Amino acid sequence: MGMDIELESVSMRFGDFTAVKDASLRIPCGEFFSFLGPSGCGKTTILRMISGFIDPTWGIIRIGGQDMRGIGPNRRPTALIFQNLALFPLMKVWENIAFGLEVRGVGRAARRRKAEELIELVALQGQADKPVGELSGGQRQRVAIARALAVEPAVLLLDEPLSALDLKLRQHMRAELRAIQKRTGVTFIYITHDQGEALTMSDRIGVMSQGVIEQVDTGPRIYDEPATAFVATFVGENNPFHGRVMETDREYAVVDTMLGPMRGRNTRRLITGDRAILFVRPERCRVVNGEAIDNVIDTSVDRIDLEGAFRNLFVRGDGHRDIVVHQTNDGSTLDLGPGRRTRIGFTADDAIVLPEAGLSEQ
Amino acid sequence: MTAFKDFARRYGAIMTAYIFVACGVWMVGLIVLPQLLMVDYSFQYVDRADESRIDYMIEQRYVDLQLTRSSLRRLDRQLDGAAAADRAAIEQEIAALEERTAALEAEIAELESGFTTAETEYSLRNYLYLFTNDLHRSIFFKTIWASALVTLSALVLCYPIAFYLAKVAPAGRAGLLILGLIVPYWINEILRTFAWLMILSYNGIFNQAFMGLGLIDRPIDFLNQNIGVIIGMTYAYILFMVFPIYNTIDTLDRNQLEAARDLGAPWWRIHWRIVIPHAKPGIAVGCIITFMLAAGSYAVPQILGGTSSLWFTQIIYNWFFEGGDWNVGSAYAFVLLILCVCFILVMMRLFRVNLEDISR
Repeated sequence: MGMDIELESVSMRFGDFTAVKDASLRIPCGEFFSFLGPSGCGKTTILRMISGFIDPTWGIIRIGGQDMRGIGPNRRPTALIFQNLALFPLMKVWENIAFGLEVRGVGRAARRRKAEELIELVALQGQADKPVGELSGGQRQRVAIARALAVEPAVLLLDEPLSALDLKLRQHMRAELRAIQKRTGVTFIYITHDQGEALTMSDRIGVMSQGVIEQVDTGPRIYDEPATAFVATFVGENNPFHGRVMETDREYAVVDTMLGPMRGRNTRRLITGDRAILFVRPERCRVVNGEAIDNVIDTSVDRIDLEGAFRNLFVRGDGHRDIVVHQTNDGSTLDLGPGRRTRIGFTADDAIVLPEAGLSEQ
Repeated sequence: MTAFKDFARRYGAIMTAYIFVACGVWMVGLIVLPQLLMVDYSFQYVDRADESRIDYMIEQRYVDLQLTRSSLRRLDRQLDGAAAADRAAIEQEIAALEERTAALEAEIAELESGFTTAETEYSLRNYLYLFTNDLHRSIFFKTIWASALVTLSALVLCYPIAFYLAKVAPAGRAGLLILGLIVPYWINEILRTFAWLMILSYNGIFNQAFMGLGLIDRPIDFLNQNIGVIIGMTYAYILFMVFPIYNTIDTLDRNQLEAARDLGAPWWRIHWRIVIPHAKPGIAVGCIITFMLAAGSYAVPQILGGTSSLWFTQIIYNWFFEGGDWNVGSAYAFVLLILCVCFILVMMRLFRVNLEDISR
């Protein structure tokens, strides 16, 4: 069974560079937790600190309530799956899987038996005696998972293990990983820069930027209720409108943007005068023909890209900024050519107003 | 032929022709023919019992010849300044000496012809000599085990160094250390060996230091035992062991070490199960090179060895350049060659590597 993990004000410095800044977090037992962020955001550093390959400069990491300081990776109840899998190429499949048991002094017959069990769990029947070099990418992936599970870890750490696979296989393995996690009850901590992976698999996601955990929440809430401008731009697409807060009332704020005042939800309780960005998702914008809606922008069409199931409509306001509108390709005729004037609208409930500070220019 | 065409397409006709000719000359002229000649020599048995007697006779006639010639020169000078009356007697004497010279030269020529046409027969007697001579046989086996010991100690010494350089040391420090390993090799082998002579000699640095520290009562005589030679050789061939192993360990994915550690393996098991199996071709190459260099070394035992630590190469040298018997020398050298080839094959079998792994 899994164990819970607690980070208490964990920081990691390499010389002058702060890789992780004051991370505090609790991951309950049996959860599928993802760290999502661009490369260099510190997510791999967190993973390496939890697995014990590096010790935090400050702060405490607890696994199952026990302080892990001074405990090496070989003595922690964690198992790590490496980005390149790091299978042992000179060993057969079953020897790879049973390596952790061999280390623990388990006899050969028992090792083989346990390996066979795991081979069944990851659906690799009949491959036990092959050298790992003869397996396909997805099969190697499964060997890595089985090898990590063989030592019965309380926490399984995965460092972008799917990034080397092609799209079809990646989607298949997502479901598989999720199923294995449910079956074993082990706490999974998953590192990725791919939001699709994070959103489809995770119970909760921690979004990281420049060493800071910006938001920890469930996938839908990360997407719908981003806490910071970084999260709003990094997860999914978003149209930003910069400006200052003009006025606020209970749930909403009005931001004075270059394209006029716009109204959105004020979840961060900004006050009048704050620099703010109003975000609205492309799929929440639509072309309006005079009907009443909270926010309306006069624009001209720049270009239209057909994606298949939907169209990307790129329009421009007077501020010369591209605004993206997703339109479902539902058969309705679109008489909009480049250069045509059109009005774009969205409701105040579909927009969110977030503080501008702390957003690095993307 | 396809290889030739392939080369020609890549490097042009002139370059290709040069490469093929150069390789041909090298292989045939410098490897195949000398080896064949040596093998041929080694099976020719020459009965040298007569030879030394003939040798002695030729030697004596040469001495006579020298004496006669110097007398002739003396008489020539006398003839220049002599009175007419004396001239006839001197000229007569010169004539007699010249006759003697001619006779001696004829005798020498005859003896030498007998020498060159000495009876040779093909047999294994040159080889048998090695196995019937107790001293030579024991030195032969001593050379094998001592070379093996040199190889083993170099391996034990170099594996940790190679691992440290390849996987532990930060890039900058690894570079410095490699430089530190290479720099002594800019000095030639003889001088490096002499440095060990200074360290290991009876009143050398080692003995002085250890006596000074009170660790030993009286100096250790390294140089009259095999230990001096073994230390010197281990040092002399360290690079040839470090670099093949370093190269293979360097290609090992660091994640594999971490994966093994993460799965709970203690350091020794990581080496035993992950690093050493991966480094096997490098270890095999290092062992082969070191063993062959050690078994074939001449300078180190010559400098650091005493009379009781003779090396097989020194025996071969003696046959060629002091004993004057190239045939037995060739046989001995050929036995050494066979030994080295056997060692290569054994190592390859032992480490389960093939030639492709080694040439990698």
